[in-house]
Amino acid sequence: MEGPTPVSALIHAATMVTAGVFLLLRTHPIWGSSPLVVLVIAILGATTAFFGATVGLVQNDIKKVIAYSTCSQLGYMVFAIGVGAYNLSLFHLFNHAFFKALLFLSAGSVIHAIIDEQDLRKMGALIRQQPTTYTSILIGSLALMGTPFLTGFYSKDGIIEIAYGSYNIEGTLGHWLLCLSAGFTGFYSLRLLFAVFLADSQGNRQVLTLAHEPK
Amino acid sequence: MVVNRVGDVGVVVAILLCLYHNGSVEYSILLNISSEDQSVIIGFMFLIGVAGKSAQIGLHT
Repeated sequence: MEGPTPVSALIHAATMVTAGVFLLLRTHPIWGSSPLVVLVIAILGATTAFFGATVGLVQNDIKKVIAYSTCSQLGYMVFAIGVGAYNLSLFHLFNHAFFKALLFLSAGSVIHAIIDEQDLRKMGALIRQQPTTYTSILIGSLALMGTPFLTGFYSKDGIIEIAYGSYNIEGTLGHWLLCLSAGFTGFYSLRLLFAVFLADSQGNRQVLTLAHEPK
Repeated sequence: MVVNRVGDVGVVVAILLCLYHNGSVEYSILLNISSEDQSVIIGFMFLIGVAGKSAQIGLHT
């Protein structure tokens, strides 16, 4: 599911990939009476959250890091449905749409500024040329990591809390996997932030000196 | 591309099963499904569709 960055902001953040979560939410009266389906949904969501976070750790493409973080957050939403927290799942979907759209659009600003370069290893020190983009990515990343008083905190912490309080096998499994995934989320978000804006410059000097904010 | 089609087949089969067993896809009728094995099979078909669309493990790219 590759596309131009504004298209990614639309389909990966709010509209396309979360349609599956919304379908599951709308159809829960049909399958909700079956404990087997609920168990499979919870395990599927927890493993996807963990899998997405671990893959996001090792990507070197700026858009792929953000895309795998979306995959991880979708796992959180599906897991929340699996432990019966339908309202929290929709709340996380809503919050995720906002900060992930912000992250994708800011990533588009970075990619455009350095002439369509997407490799994290060839960026660096862009905080001088792009302070506004840096601030946007910082706010989006803090919300994604679940910093208190930003959006991600309320929904993600709620999902982990419901998992901890559900006292069954999928709740305990989900609690551990989701806590680990939240730690990985913090790691790869900060890694992206450092590699793009704060680390020493690694790329072509002429390209990096001409980088500027979108006008 | 293949995983998208697998997910589509899941949703279509789930909708057709709803139609076959209840004669309707109205929510007001589907909310009253009482058969356990019917809700299991429909639920798993919807879950395949969800996994295909929302990139859950097994049907991710």
